[in-house]
Amino acid sequence: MIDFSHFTLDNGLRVFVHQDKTVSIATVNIMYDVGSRDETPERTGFAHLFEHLMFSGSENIPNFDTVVQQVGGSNNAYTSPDVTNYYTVVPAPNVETALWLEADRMLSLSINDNSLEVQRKVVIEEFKQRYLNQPYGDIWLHLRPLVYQKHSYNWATIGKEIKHIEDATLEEVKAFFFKHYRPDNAVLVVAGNVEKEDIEKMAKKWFGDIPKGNRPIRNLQKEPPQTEARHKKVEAKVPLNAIYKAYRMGNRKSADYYATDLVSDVLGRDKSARLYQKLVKEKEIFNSVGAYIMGSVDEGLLVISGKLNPAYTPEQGEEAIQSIIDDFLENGISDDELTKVKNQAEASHVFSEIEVLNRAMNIAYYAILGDVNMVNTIADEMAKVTKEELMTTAKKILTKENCSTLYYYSKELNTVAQN
Amino acid sequence: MLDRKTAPDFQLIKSHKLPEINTQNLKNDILFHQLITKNQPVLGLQIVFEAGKCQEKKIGEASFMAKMLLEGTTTKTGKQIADTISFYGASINIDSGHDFTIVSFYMLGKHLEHLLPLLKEVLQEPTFPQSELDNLKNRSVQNLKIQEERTAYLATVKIKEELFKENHPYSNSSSEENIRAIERDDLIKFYKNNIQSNSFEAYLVGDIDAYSEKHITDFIESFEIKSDKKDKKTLQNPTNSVSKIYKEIEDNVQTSIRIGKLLFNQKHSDYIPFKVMNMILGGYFGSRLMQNIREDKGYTYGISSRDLAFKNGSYFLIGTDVKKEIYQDAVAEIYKEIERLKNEPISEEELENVKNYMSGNFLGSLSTAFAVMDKIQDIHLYSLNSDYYNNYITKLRKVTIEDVQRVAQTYLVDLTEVCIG
Repeated sequence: MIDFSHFTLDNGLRVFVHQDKTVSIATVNIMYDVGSRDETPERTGFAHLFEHLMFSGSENIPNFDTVVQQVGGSNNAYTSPDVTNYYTVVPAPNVETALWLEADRMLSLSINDNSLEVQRKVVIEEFKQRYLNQPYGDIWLHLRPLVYQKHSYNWATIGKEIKHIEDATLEEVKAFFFKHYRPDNAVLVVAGNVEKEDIEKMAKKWFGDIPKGNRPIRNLQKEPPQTEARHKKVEAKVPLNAIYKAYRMGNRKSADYYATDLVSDVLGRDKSARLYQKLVKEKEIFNSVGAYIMGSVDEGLLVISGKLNPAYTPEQGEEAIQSIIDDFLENGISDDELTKVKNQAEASHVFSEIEVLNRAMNIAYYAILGDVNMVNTIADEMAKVTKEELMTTAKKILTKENCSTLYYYSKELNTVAQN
Repeated sequence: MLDRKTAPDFQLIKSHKLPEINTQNLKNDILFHQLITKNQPVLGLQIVFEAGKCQEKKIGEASFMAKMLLEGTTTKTGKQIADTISFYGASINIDSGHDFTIVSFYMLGKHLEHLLPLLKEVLQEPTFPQSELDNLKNRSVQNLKIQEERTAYLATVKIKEELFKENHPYSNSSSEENIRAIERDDLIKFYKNNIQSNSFEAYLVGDIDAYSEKHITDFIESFEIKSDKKDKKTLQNPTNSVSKIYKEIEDNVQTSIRIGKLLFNQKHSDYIPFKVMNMILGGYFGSRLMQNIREDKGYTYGISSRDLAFKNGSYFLIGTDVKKEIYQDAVAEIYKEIERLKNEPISEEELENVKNYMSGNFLGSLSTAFAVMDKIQDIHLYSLNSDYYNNYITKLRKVTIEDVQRVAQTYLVDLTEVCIG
């Protein structure tokens, strides 16, 4: 159970305070309701590039990082398809410094051509380091467009291509800021060894007079239901063939979200799961194989992926995965297996709440989602899923028509096979 | 009108003490450390054997032994072990590194009694089934091939080889040949010599009550400890030598740069001054390398300089992946920053800033009882002074401008350099 209190400033900034007297730190977490799904197809990767620029200093504080470091803090940020999140961890007595900094960059960012030029280069190297110079690093650059043809999950957070990052202009950066980085489009969570009254005073003081914006109304194109199986073949310089199967699933608030999560656990959460036991251990077709859900806000994906042992092609891998799915759909699961995946879900939920920063991020995420109380109901919702719900969901989702498959061929193995 | 230019007051962190740990020497002479935290109903138990690369007779056998412990016992198959652990939502990791094999067991406290007998069996009655070993070896060879596609991996392996030289356990990264050569008998021997009947230390964190304390105490005391370490050996750092290696990989878009040198361990009197100097050089976002190579030039997504301290040897390592076309410029800038630290005293302000950062970061690194216990473990495993972390902030506060320049001049010489990509 995570306790928190809540108030909203006149400019629409929602503030949550979560007290934990057992730590000596405070975390200031601010989540903006903007992600790569809010970009236009011609300028992808922008939300993430912008995140980098948020560290370029603000009107009254030329260097964000230096000030954080001076008071013994550290900070970072991430961008996802759904949200952009910034966090600072400081010794608890220095929490006001973090709020002062966060408020100043919300009030007015001072981005210039030079900071844009440098961060553009940094992000391009990030693109290369994480997506290109990494075996199998580019799979989502292939898979997203295959699955999402209308919805803006079509591109990865890093962007469709490097060119989009190269072309971003300072005017676009500024417009993006005033559109999305307003107090009424954000949630502030202060957690740790802090007092609610102090935080309320500080929040009012530093954030109170920041003008509110016109909260953008999100009107994304819906992805129509998928009606036929989709395939794509890619060849790359990797040692093993691989296969990625992405099944469409509901959104974060859909009634069968938790059932879907458990379906993925039954199939491929860990070494005890069906895919691993059958295909890695027994049949030795795969080198590794697993299943998970993406956990996205809008209609998401259940992914089954694996790397194959050298003697097998992606097609053979697909066949082997299909036989596991067929058996699962036909014969269902035992009570023990249901208990197992629920116990696992319960434990990972409890463990995820050990770090105070994670608790802060969870509060922010569910507040952005529109129902902050979900932070305390997840465990119960998971426990409530019945065997029938789980199987109904599995049958709905795990159909061939609902799946996009990426066959990822090893150039080396392919050459050998052709000789 | 609100004055936004003036920073709010802040406090300096001048000292910080770790919470008291309850340490008992049990009947069988095993040290059992406990730290209670009531926030979540979880338990984390770590069991540490001195059994790592340093005890190997064949390269890679320690880590294979560790992985194979979970693949079969006298009464359970690998699948049954995995099933039981998963059924109770627990997780178990057995990792063998340079110096130690560490068993990490995490669970909800309510499942404890179902899980301890399994852990006992895994540690006392492993059978190392041949078929599971063959499967694991095959997968390990494939995984190695994937790793070898990454220049970051290749460059780190290469510089460790250059620094520690052939035959030192820390330079031995398993090759395909090494993996293929591992046999079931090697694992059984390694297990008998280093795990079974061998002493260990136990660390328990979480929502400990009288019930769980008793159960775990009984569990630990049920181990019959016959001998102390048989293979105890102390290794020296090899003498430092300098090499520069460049290997081009066609079609690669980045070059992985690694620059490093062998170093002393945590007990050396220059360790803390070196840590401060290294932090200024490349240890945090505000460091000189990060500000120069990333924030000014945009050559990379990240660059760091770290010290890596082990039981029988230590080194420091600058690492970055940069745009291939400019890799030589990046290397030149790295040396420029090193020379600047040696030739120019740093400002009072920069030193103060880095000390504040390190003190606060130390506090932040202790935000859970699990993290605190990691520090306690360090003290025991690396034989540090029991007040090492309690004095950490006071010691780093004492480091002077002269110290920083002196350790830079003394130790940042004769560096080895590897660039791949």
